[in-house]
Amino acid sequence: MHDFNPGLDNGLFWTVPVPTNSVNVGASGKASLVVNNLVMEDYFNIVNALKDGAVSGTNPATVSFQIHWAQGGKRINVRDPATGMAGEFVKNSATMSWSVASPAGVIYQSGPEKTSASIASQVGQERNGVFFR
Amino acid sequence: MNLGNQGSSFGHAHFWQRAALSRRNFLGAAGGALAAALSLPAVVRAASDTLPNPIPGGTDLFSLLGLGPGPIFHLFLPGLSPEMSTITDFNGFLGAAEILGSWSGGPVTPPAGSQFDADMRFMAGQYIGGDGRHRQGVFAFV
Repeated sequence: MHDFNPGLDNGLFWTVPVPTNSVNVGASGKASLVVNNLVMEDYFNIVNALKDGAVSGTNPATVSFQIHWAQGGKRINVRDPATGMAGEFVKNSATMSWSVASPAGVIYQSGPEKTSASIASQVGQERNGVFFR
Repeated sequence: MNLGNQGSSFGHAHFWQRAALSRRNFLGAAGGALAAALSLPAVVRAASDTLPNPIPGGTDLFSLLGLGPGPIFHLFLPGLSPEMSTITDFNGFLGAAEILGSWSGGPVTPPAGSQFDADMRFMAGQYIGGDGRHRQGVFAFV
């Protein structure tokens, strides 16, 4: 059993900085996120992951993935005072491929990106916190 | 990513429930490392002393997973809130996607119909760091 995620640093939930060239955003919702060899941890199971490894420790792993959001789709405007966010988004579709490697050489990988199925996706501009207006 | 032989009905409350364990669980047998050594390229270190702050509020994932009440984790699930960012004081581009697909690897052959289930997001733009300074950055919810 394996559970890979980047941990809970600074209270951020499974959110990590990535190189600035990892993201490209084009017109009408087209975008990509491509990350190679991101250091993560294998938490083995979700409970251990949510407790940041306090139950059974972690093992290192590296993850590479690419996601492409397609151009076009329904445009929506969102304003949610309850959470303090607003944004303009394009509801589109996305595809993904990934691989995970442990230092011992165990590799897991997805099928080809074109075989993945988009359940829901969106790309747009958001402002929250002090930028919410 | 969650790997399993789950269905594909949409709804993000369903997402974690469907995942049964989590969206990143890899249901493979332990042990049996590949004999061939793997040469890993240079590693991108996910570290920063200027991280943003998490969004206020969030989701009790322990309760959502049927494990009883627990702490609030600072994220909202698609379908339950329009807030897909995990960082606050943010002004920039955001992308989010839930994607299903096939997978393979590890020491065992995945059961027929197995698939991964990934909720992936990026936030790219201006934010206020924990040090109170305005910064530019790119973050991935992985």
